Amino acid sequence: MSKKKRTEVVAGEVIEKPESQIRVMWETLKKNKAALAGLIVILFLVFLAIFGDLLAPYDPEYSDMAHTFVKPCAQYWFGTDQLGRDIFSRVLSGTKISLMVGLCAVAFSLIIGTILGSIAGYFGGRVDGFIMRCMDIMLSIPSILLAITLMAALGKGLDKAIIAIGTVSIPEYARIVRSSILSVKENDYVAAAKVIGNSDGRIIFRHILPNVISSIVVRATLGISTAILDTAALGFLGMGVQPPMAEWGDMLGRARTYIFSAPYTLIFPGLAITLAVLAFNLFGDGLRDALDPKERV
Amino acid sequence: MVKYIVKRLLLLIPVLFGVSLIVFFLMRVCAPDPAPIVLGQHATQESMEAWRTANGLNDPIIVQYVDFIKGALTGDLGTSYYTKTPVVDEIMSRFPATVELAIIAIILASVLGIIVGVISAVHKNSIFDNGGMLLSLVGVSVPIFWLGIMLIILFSGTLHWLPSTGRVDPALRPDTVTGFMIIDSILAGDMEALKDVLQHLVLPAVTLSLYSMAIIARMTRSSMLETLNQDYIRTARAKGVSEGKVNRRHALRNAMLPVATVIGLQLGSLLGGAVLTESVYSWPGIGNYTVQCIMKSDFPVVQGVVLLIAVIFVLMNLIVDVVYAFLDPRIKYSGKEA
Repeated sequence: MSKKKRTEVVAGEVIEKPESQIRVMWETLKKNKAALAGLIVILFLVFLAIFGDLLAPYDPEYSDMAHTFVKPCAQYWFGTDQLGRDIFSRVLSGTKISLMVGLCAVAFSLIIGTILGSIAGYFGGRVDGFIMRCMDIMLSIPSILLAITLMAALGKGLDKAIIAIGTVSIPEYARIVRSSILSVKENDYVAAAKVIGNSDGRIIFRHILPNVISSIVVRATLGISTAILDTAALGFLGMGVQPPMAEWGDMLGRARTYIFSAPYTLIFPGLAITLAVLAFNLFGDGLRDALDPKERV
Repeated sequence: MVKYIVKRLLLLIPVLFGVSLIVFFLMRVCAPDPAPIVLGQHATQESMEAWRTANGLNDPIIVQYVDFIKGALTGDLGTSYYTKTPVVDEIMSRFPATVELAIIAIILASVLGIIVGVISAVHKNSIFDNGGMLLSLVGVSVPIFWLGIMLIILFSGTLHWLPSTGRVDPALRPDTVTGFMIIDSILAGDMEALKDVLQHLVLPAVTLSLYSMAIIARMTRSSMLETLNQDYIRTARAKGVSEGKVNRRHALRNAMLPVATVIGLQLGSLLGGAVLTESVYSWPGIGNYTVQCIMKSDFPVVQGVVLLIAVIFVLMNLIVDVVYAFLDPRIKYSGKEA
């Protein structure tokens, strides 16, 4: 970690200003090549998610029955699928869906988990007991099984996939936020904030949560990779998006029938999922090392 | 200790009650009406109405739930909408397949994971460490179903070395005694069947083990590194104990505690039905079965299976905690602490 400190001259005296948390974090992160590589891939994926449709050589949903199962070639880089759709264009188009579902699902679980965890940690007692028991119940069902059951109840669709995938991670965030709140709520500044008449909501959001933000950010970054994997898994099991939308897991699920006759249809969507998940894992691990070295596993 | 276990077992009751409530609510209230799915698109209104009444779906939801709980308490989880077989029998006929796969996978994952983790820790920042950690990073990043597909393409489709689906060649199937194919074929003394069973197990077990292996390797590495920094390790080295002995006798044994916990938790989740792996390899276990039942709206089965999986999951966590206390005499559980 850099020991440099910014100096400032105030009233003739040199005052050493501690570096901001973000700056320190960036300095640490910069030295972590793996995390940087992850960040670069993430930025690349974001670029593809925004401009992928413009870069795609074909309409990802256009089915050309005269050109089904074309092997990868100069015209169709990744080949075509059972409906004659260009797999390269579909993989590009799928970037948008995976990132969007990943981000939205994490945002969903993050918001609800933070609220529940804050209430449980701050108020304690029976409220805490009730909320955390509910979280235990959710944790006792394997996440993929809970997500599938939710999808069966809610029906197909991107919005439903976001809710299903988001819901299964709520307990994780609730637990992190709760334990962080428990560790800071006895501090003097919280007592001071109470004494001067701040409302509970203001104390939680203005005085307590900013202290626990780093562990939440780390968890959320790693959570995106899990959410991308879960999205693909639901798609693979035929419970994700509605056809003909291009989603990586769904592409794999549908191409599975042709595993021996057209194996190339199964290679690229899977590579795309792995790349995206790997990037968020690398970056998330780097962030964790930079933000809270204690939690390094 | 006994007090602690009893207390944890008692805590199981509200958790299972909650699980049953969630699954029941999702399946009976939110999910679409199962009648047209079970009876088919062409069923008449009258036949669907009669079917709903016969299966108790026209009763008030509270009555349905109470009936379900009453049944569950006496070990009756209802019957499947399709096969009319008791759910308990449906589950028990598939459970051995899941258990067999999970146990082989966890053995594979533990052995490889610990080896990779120890080598990485002992040779920290070497090429072995970087390679091992890259492998474990890939292990947690690869979608398990895609890995399964790629292994099938390579080992079944291209090389023709291993079978791609099922547990055993139907012609070689040993008589069912325990439901565990390995044990059954040994009991039958049929070595050809045993070889076939093992061949069928290779790909699913490797696929299923990769994720757990990655987690175990990471845990072993970090736990080893922490242990290697302890004073007693320095003392051992100062006394002139050889490096190999320090690693094996002094470091590894103490580093195993958290690793054992992780292995236990991983086994718990594998036993819960490896939904994706079982689906890829058409493995006749409960994970694959549950997905099919969810798709077909076979509510009684889904409720039963999820409840069973929750029991296994929670019991496994309890076992892990108890074993942990046995392994580490510093930990004392009291009824109060829990």
